[in-house]
Amino acid sequence: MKRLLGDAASKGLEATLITSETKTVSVSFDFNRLKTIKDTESLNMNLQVIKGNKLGVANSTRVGGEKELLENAMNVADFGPKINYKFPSPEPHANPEVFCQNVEDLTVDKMIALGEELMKFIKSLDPSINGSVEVEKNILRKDISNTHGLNARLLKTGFAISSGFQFVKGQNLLNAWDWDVSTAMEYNLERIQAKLKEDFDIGKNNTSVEPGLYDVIFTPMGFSDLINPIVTCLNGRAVMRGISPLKNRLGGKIFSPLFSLTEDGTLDKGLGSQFYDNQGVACRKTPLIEKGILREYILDLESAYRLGRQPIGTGSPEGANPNNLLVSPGNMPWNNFLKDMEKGIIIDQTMGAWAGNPYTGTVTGNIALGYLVRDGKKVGRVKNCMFSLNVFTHLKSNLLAMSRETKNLGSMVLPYCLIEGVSITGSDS
Amino acid sequence: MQNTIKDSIKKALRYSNAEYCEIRIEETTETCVRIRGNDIESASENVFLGGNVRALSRGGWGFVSFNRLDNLNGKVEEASAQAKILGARIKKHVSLYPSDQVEDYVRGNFKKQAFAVPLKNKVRLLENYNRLILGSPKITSSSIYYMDKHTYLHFANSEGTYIYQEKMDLGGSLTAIASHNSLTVQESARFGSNQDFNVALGLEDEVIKAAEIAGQMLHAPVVEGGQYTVILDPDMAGLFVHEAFGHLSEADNLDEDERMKELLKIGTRYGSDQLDIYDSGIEGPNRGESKYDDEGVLMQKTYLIKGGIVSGHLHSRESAAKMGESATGNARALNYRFPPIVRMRTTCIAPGKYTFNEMLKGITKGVYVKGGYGGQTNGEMFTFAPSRAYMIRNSEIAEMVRDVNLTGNVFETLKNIDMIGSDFTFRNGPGGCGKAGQSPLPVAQGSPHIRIQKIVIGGKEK
Repeated sequence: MKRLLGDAASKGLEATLITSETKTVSVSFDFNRLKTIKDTESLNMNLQVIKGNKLGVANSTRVGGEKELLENAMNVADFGPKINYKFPSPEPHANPEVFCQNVEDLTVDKMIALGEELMKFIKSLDPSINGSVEVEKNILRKDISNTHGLNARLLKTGFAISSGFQFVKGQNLLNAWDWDVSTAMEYNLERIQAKLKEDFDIGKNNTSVEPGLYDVIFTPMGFSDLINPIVTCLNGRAVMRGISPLKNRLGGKIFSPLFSLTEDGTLDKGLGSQFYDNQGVACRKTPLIEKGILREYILDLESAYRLGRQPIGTGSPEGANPNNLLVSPGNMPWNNFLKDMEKGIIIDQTMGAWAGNPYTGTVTGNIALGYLVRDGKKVGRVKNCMFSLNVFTHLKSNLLAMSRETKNLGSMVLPYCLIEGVSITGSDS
Repeated sequence: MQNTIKDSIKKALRYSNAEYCEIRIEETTETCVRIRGNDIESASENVFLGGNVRALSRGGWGFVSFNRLDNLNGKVEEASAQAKILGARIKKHVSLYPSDQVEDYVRGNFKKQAFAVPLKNKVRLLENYNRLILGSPKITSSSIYYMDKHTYLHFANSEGTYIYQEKMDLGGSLTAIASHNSLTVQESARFGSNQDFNVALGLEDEVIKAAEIAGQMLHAPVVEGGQYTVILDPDMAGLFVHEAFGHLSEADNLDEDERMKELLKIGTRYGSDQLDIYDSGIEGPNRGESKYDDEGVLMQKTYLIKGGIVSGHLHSRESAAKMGESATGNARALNYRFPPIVRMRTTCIAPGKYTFNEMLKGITKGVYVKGGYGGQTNGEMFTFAPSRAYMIRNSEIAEMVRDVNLTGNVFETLKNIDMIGSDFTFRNGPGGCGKAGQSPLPVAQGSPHIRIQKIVIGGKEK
């Protein structure tokens, strides 16, 4: 590593080298039975060089391919992006808790046992159900160094357990799943089982829904579809190019005071937490939206320079990417939203909601798994219908509450949220 | 180099004590360029070298992937040992559909190699397109994406097969972005191929058209949600058939589920007599097609629906054996980090007899959707979004509308296809298909215009 950077420096280049080695082991069950053990080892070297004022980037998984890597990066730099930054000098970094010895020590036998427990539960729901489970662990070693003296190593573990089923009756297909994910061995099989049981019990009964405007409870999973276009619009590169509707609006009241969004690359047990981003900037905690007010963009070194901001540890040579995104929870348990709902809909899983134009803020998607609520109770599954809203208007004027509970989805930690006036269109329209 | 790898993987296979074992070694060089607005945002040249071993024992699959190629024998032993651990618990006989023992060398027979074009020429080409976009009225920014890959793939299995394939893949999108006040809209020209860099050339007219449409879209109202008669252009119809029936026909989701097998039973009617749907690996050249799949099975053309009736499924060797059907060459892996699973290649609706004007006739209020942006399915339902859409009023194309996303129930929607056009176009874009964490896998689609009754479009309340 040192030699490669030395070679780059001797050619008059600034350089950053990131070497990532990951070992992932997973055990999967399909069709109610144990099926596959996967063991993947991956190595990737990412080299960024600054030649004059241009950036060259190359990646390689070839063991011993350092010379070729440097040649490729130098070749690309001749045609690469013009940049306005230098690679940063070392700065102190936070030390988030991201390594768990129990994950590293987790055996395949134990992973199979965990999977079997969930599998047994799913099979107990119905003899004809088709269940699947995956248990996965990974260990990452990431080294980052640059020609300004940065040299750091991150050791991080990851653990995920996911479980779901498909239940077919005639032409009716019910798919449901749930999971827990962390850098530590943190999971709750009872909670996963309870969620799957409720989805099975209520989801197998379809109910029709009249088109109209509804109060909707978005589960954390459903809510993530509303966060994605906001993240796209917060991206410093989109702001820098003037295509984000959030340009020139720092300090402005964009959303309801109930909505706060924070980027935190230092979150303990956060799957995206790390010491430095992929440009060598120390990760930190940064409020992006604070009680509805726009405080910061998601920045890389170039967009930070051009927007006159300080980088926040979310950079990569391709642009800005958040590490962990957290929406602040509210005070009320989400079950209270349900209890108080006379007529409404719960949206848990969606399809195609990502396919719209994020810059308009319009989110339209199929309700893949959702329930009609009447008098505080889920009465049946709604299907063959779509929801539509605009995040910039609905999270400003129609947001009623955030729940006390949050769920770690992997790269986002989100509460349930209650929004009024969501358009529902169905085949009965 | 080629013979060295061949010898070492054939030798390593001797270390397997599983019922079946296979090795893939893959080397890919990749070029990516992205331009946004006035800037080249990123450019990179990448090398991916690695391999994997997959072994089967009494119903259990062991899979190991790696970058270090110096211990292939040990990797074979490791995958075999994993399969044995599983097999001892599962104790189930799983056979694979018989495959001929083959030794074949498939050299790239490319029309114009993308990787032979110097990076500076690619950048110059893309910058020219970018200038055209940014010089168009009402356009405020742009997004240009280009990638090409050149792959050498070695495959060998314990049945004595060795196959060497050289592959190429390229794709790109040239997007014009128009903004006014807080509204930003976009439209793209796209290209893709598995053998000809020339598809990236001569797109000036398409780029100018995309910019013009993006400008028009600024003034388009949001579509009113509801149920409509919809005409899909070939691009959208290709996306529709991929999402709506292609995924459902992938037999690894059927082969151990009796109810799913019943649902997709050969002979079941799901469409009118005029409806033929097929998936093919030999149609092209199209993205995702090659001589062999990633289990060493020859790709072929498979009818999924013929005359409106289910007539076949897409198979790996495992799913074919379980269902008592033939392997179809659909076992594909994104790269060496993944095992092959059942995936589509070029999925098509065969042309029918109607003209576009005949389709328009009789529609008092409908929607014409063009240019597939993306889609998704969960088996019974699907969604897909066009890049642009127009209202149809009194049998004529009327005003443009935006933010259109369509959904439907697979089984009902296939029955509601009431007209299939006589035209036919392949769709090769820069994206790909996602399944089981393997995305984007290059695929293509082909279709004529089609007309569907009672499609739900999400949108603002009336």
